[in-house]
Amino acid sequence: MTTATLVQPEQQPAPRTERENYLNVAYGVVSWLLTKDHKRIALLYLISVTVMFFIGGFAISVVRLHLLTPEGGLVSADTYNRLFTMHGVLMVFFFLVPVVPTVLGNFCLPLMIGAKDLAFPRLNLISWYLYMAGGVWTLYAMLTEGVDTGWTFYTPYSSQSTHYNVVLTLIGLVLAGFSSMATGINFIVTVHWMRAPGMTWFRLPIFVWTIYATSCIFLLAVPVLAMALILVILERLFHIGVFDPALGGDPLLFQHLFWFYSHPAVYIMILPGMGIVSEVIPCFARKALYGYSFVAYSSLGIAFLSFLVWAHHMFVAGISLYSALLFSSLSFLVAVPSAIKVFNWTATLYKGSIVFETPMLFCLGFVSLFTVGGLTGLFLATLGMDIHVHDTYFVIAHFHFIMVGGMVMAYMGGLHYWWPKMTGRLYSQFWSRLAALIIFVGFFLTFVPQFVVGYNGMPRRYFRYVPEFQVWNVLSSAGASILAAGYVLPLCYFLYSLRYGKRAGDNPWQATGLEWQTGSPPPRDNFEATPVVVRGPYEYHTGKAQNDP
Amino acid sequence: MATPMVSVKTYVTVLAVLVALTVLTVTVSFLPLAEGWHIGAGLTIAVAKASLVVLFFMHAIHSPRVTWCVIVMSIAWLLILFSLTLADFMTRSIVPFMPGH
Amino acid sequence: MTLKDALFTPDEQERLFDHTFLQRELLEEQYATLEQQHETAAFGMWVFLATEVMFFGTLFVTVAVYRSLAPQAVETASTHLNWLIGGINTIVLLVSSLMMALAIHSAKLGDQRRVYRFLLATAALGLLFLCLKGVEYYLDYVEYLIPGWRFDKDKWLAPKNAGGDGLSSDQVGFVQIFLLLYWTMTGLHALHVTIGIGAVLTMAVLTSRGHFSAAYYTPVDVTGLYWHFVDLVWIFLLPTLYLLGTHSFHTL
Repeated sequence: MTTATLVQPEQQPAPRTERENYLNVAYGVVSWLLTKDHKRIALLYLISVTVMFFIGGFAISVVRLHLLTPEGGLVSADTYNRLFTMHGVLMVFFFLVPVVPTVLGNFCLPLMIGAKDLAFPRLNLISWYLYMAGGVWTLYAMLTEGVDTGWTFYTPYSSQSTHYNVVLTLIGLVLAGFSSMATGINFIVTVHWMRAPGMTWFRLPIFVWTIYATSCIFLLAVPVLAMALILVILERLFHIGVFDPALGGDPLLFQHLFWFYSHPAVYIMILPGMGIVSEVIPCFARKALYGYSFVAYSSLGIAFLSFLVWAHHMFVAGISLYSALLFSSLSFLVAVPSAIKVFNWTATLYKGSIVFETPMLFCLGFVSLFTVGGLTGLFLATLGMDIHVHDTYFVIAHFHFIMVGGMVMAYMGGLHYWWPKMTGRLYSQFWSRLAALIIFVGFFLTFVPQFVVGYNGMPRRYFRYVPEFQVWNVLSSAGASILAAGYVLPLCYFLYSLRYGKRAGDNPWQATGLEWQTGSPPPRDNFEATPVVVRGPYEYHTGKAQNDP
Repeated sequence: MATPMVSVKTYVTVLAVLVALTVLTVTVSFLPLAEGWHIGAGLTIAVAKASLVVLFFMHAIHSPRVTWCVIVMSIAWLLILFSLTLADFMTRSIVPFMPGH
Repeated sequence: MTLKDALFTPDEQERLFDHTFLQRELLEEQYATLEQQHETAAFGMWVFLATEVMFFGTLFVTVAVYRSLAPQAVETASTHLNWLIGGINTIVLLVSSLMMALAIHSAKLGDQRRVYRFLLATAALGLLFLCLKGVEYYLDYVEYLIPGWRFDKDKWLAPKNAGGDGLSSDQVGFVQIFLLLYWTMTGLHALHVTIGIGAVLTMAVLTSRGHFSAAYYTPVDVTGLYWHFVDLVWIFLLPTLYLLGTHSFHTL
């Protein structure tokens, strides 16, 4: 197999100009701000999360500039603390956790299952408003005074000692949490009750399985965090020591409740990314996904196991030895379903007819970087090793490999894959491939040096470091600047494509999913008629779509 | 909606049992028993009451299987939160975790 | 001439109400049948209740942890809570749950008059719960049981024969933590009851206007599920907060 059988997108016949679709069916601010349409809500979210991403990115750019020299000197210690806290809070709670479910999930889920909309469209809009309320609130707190506790808000510093506005920040986070819960409820109910005729569970695209698993995590983990944060707020307001040892409380209880959510949260972040990769790789290898049921079940397995490992963030905090042993063993277990997925993607690529379109480039990057990130996670799950690398840059590099090298790359892949569907426009292939390359190179240069300095003992969250580490920090900061350029590029060519991009046909990638069997952009009710599904989602060997009779 | 219905008599009987269990739980709590028995009794009676409310008042007994999944999962996850958190607190006195010792 | 026609021109109506958040239909667009809509709404409420289980569950875990860390302090603190009002309130909520179940039963049969009366009974019992709660909170206020605001440390430290509780100064911290948890849990629960009463009264009003029938009573059903959940939480709150220390009453 030497030639790809994929027809280049530009060679497709030009579609009829401007059919009625969800974008042009109604104009005006009110039609957007009061919309029930999941596709419009997805775009509203897209704008919000992108703004949050760039603000969080700006914060860490200042940090990386500061870290060019061992004594720092760009910002004070206090400001440094507030900057990395802002980066963590905005990136975790307002970008990574919501991005794929609310942007790509909201847009694609009803299309992929053949429904007209989600089960509760008004609740969907309320989710967005809750996200905005939380976001504005937290941004206000961050940009006026800021908070210096780190995104983990460990007590008793956050509940008693720090004079910064913790209460304000936490209220914003609780609101954002409610937004996630509402989205999770909506998605679960939709997948159960709104599937088109013939769309059985095992004909669902893997993206739907992963969004479903993610929604289960939302439901069960977010309320615990919300309550833990409310208790911290109450502790600050009434000076009672629920988590303060000086007043009788136990700070580890906060950590238990915090990480009960925050560990599953990292799986909230990665699972939808894995779903995207499971869609893109079959399409651009022109081959059915290998081991569909394994990949489907492993999504649920990851969601379940993610709840059993949280105290591996607390190995050196003072938990009991037996508890530490238990959590260490369970943490090894959670690597298994992720590995299963990597094997299946690799097996899908094997003997496939691979085309290096931009979404595929990002997803290939995902598979390699996520594997490295995942393996280093096992180092951290090992009790003996964790004692040495806990709270060092090793941990930072590990989770950035997963979050940035994994999650953000997968998101970029998904955005590039579904952009023609969402907007009806094609973007520049040259600039997008260049962006993928720049991001990959920039990422590598930023985070590999961090593994080195972390392993050699450089602590995280410190505004100064010993001079021996300078060369690595300079490399890391240089990489960060390249990475930043790589992220700005898509902003430019995507916006350019909205006005000047070639019109995409219904199915520029010749994919088999249901979402590709309707217009680009889709009509408001998604399909001209309710599709009837007769086959699975990845029948690339026959080239037949799911509803092709 | 042709759903099977719980009769009025069943509802009233369930309420009578619930009130009786409430009186029981308060009474038992006054008895001088060993610590574990109090927690065990209180929890058992509360779970029994909750089961009656869920099965009959919330007509879970006539609900689709997927609703049962939601109920079971909520309970299971609550148990995960309880057991793994308490696993730390209750095993601390056995051997504390002190790196370097 | 409806209120909508009075406030907005047909053009404005189309812009504001057509396919937006404000549009109201009996059978929403995305559903094929009323039955699907009903099943979906009920399932949605169950899924929401799962989140509430975890939400309240966190507070229960916290109480469990502190009960295991400081059993004597926590039980002593619990003895000061009003188990009688707590117990009566439990029965009040249980009866209100019966009223709600009978309201749904009548809704299935299409008997709108009975639905209306049972819904009002539910709301009335809910209000009774809140009133008794108010009395209880007032008594707690009088007895200086509000940590961080109205709390008398010395009374807890004083020896038992002098009318105090005979605790050490470390233990008083645990007492305050337990009391904070008491106020948070009962307060959060009372907030849920209040929202529930609002929902039940709204359903009653809509019922009186002939909004529902045996074929369509979905909002009433969903409100019922929420109300029963509120009762469920209280079933667990009673032993967890009020009955921890009662076994020591015979020695007081």
